[in-house]
Amino acid sequence: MIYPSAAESVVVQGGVVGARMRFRVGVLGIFLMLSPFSTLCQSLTSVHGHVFHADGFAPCNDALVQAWPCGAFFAVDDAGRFDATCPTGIDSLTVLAHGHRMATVVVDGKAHIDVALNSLAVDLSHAVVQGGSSEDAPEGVEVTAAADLMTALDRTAGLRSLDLGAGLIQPVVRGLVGARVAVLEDGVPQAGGRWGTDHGILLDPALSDGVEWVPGGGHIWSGPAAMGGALKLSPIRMMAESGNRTQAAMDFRWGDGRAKVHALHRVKNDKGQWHLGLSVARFGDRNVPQASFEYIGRQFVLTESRLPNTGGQSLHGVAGWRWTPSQQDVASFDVRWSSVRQGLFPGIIGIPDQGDLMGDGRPYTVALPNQHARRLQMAGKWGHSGRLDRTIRMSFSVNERLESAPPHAHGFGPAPDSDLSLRLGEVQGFFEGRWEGIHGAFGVQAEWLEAHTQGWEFLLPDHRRNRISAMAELKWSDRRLGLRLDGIHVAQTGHVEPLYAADGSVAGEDLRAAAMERVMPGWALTWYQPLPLGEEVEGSWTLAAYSRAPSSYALGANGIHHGTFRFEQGNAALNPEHTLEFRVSGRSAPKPPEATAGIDWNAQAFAAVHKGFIHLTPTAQFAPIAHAGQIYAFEARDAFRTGAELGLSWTKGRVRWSNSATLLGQWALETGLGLPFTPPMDFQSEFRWAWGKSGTLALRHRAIAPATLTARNEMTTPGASLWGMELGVRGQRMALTLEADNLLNQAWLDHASAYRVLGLVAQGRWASLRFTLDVFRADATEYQTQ
Amino acid sequence: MKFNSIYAAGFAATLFVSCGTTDTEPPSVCSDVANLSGVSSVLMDEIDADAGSTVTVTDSFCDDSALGEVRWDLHSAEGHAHEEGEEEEFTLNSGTDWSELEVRALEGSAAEETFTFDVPVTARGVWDLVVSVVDAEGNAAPDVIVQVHVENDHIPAFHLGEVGGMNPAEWEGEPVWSPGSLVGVSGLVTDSDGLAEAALSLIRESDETVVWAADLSANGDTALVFAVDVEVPADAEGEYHFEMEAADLSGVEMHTGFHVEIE
Repeated sequence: MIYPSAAESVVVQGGVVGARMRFRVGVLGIFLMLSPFSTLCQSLTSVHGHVFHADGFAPCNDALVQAWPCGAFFAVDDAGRFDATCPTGIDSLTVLAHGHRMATVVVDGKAHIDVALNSLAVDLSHAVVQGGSSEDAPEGVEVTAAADLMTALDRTAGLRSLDLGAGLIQPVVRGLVGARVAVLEDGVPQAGGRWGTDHGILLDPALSDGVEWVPGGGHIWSGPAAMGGALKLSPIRMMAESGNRTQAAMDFRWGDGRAKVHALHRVKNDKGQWHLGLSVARFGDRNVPQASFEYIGRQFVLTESRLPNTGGQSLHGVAGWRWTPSQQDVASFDVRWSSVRQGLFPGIIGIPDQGDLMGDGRPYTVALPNQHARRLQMAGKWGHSGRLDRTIRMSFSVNERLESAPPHAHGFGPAPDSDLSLRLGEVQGFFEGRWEGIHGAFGVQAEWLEAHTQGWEFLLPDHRRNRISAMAELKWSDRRLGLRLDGIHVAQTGHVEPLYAADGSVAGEDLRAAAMERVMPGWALTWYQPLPLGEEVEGSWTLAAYSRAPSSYALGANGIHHGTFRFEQGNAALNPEHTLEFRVSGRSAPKPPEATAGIDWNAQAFAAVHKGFIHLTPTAQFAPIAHAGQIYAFEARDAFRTGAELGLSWTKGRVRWSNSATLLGQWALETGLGLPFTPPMDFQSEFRWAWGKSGTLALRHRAIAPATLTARNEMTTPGASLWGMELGVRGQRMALTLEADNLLNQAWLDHASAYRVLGLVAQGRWASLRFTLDVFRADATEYQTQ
Repeated sequence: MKFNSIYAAGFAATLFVSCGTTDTEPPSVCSDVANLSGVSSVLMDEIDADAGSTVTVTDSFCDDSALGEVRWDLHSAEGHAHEEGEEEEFTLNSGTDWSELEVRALEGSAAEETFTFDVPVTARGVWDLVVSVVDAEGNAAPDVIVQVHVENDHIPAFHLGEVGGMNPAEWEGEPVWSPGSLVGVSGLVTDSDGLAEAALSLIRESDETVVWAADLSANGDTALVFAVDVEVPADAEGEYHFEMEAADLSGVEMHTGFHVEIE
């Protein structure tokens, strides 16, 4: 046999080269038959041939060929050709190339040998990724999956959710929210009125492969908005082997009567994979253990223990495709769409009438006022592995947010003739190019956002926001030094409305927004340094200095913001804010999988000084509209923020006791007062017991301290003690979970929630029954890393 | 380690030294009600007014440093209450579209300001006057609220006797009627100029559709007793309004009514 075996990972070429080889083999065979002793007496002193990539047949021009037994090395030329000689003859060749499996070929009398090399590939059944790639933030923390994103966020130390109803969730990262928190889906920043704290994100984590949060600012690949941090949703990954996989779940929640179904199906065939996922939910009016509330000095009664008109529906979908044309290349394309329609509590727009709050016994009905938020996004990515790994990302998305309300006039103007209170339409484009090697990475990002507003409730003008950034990152010995430079172009149109006199006549003009166009520089400089704390402890610290340009809302708002129930006013003269932030983290080293007892801990802390921190501040002026209270204006004031997240868990056999604590302090240095909506200390504890082969029982408690660090005119919030439980059974391909929260039906106020301004408590007791399926996971745990 | 501790202590000290303080004391309405004679104040228990008259409300405002702005917000009390535990009598309001809003800048740490408004001849019932004040730092005082009771001799007046066999003054919350039921409504409508016309109707609030209506034969009487059976449609459900309207012989019109829940 003259061909090397497959076990040696060497493939002799096919096609024309293979035919030529077969011809030579035939001639050689005849020669051997005619001269049976020739090979015993002679040994070739020279062998030539080619080295090429097994996948694609391209010449492998960086290979080395070692001839045996003399051991001499020979380099191949650009065409992959080699010519090896040994004075004493050659019996075998060893072929080496970076990134490929070594191949040994027995010469066996052949004067010409073509050698194919296979790329190195490692199959991992379990791996801990230490953040070697720029794609992975070394400070990233996994968000443990839960029945819904709101629950998942609330159970993660350092994170909270702003409660906007069952369909819309707004993440709060270390007390910061909205435009200060980047939400990235496969590295693409999400738009959709992200400046509005009441504008929840339009996505469902069930249609992604995990959620991670990256604390703090200055992360050069997350964009300049991520001052508080980033919430990163992982893309749907490619399966390791051909086959298909379906993940599905059905969930019903007693309390607000939410029913949710989602399914994600992926099919892989050879080098391609497609997937399709849908998530549908319907939810009723929120249950609250509350009978009355006070808003702008007026007392209202709630019947039926529900917040009327807070029910709705949500739909999220994803369709995508992955393709690996070669070992070096991977391409992906995803289309994602979302549609969330939900009622708005009558107090959100205008002044509620007691008649609106009496309830109609139909919790799923969506009446006026309401909102409808939609998103359509197309995103593509191409990656190529080489000496420098190249990644190109592109995304195009359309977002629309409609708020409808009973028409009502402000001042002496005529009543509007439509229900459209506010429409915000956004078109966003994003591009990222990244080149990454072992010792660093560099890249560019470009982002383009065009927004149009309309409706009878003016809030902000049409605006545009363009950004171009250049990033560079150096990596050595797990250290990272990153730099990002931004150029941000912001522009807005002017907006004028008629000013009416008491008799209804037009008395002049009301300038709501002045046209503006500015270019602002931005930058971030970040140093990440692992801490050598021994084998038992992993630690790191990060020093980041960065700037952040004001949001388009902070520059141009001038009207009633229904989500916060007040009149908010921007300032087109605001300049970028600057931050110096220090972060430190430590954790116990991961224990081997077979360990059944021990203590695990983790701790993260940060301190940040902000120069010109832009936030809403009450002014000495009243809004020109009756129910809008004071004017809250965006002002830049120096601020200091500090906080920590601590976790400690103890495991022994079937029992695990986990605890986490979140501490946060935020002050405006000029006044010594707290920053608005500073969440209080939060302590969570869970006692989990595994019973039988597949059952678990968990008892949870959450203690929330009174919120006493408040901004001017902000009310303090009493503390709360909330109990919860979970009962689960898990099989090989399914799981059934019964979960309950706020077991004692406590009436508690969430300090970070906009509803708290209305004096409305958070959701009361709820219980959910969830059934999840993960069918035909042929080799589901073996995924290719991307 | 020693130097690190010194740096940390220095940083913390610098930080807290640089942390400023501010005035957080809110302003207040500081009128001396005991010495007010013949002048209305928001600190009074209530203010009585006649339709067609002019009302002046005078108050003093105080702050420990500097005042900012004061706002008077006068609106119908229909559909809400302002104080915990407040027991409002059932009132048939008319002319509830009338409202006033005025904002005025204040100077100094104390100021006396007057708010004057004309009561429309179409108004009858109870209005809330809410006075809000902020200081120059933006500290907001709790709203001060007084009810303005408006009497009206110019427009016709409805007086309800029984609705569904019950005196409206005894209602707790809004009345709830059943689809397909007959609801008896009785009462009296009066006007010193004589009534030209009077009518009752049941209106669906979602689209302002009249689902039931009845004309009362007025014939110029100064007082008209009525008793009707309201036919609630069998498919009715949700929010409705029972509308009562009348016009006198001089052409002055009046609209009033109450909210009804049908379920």
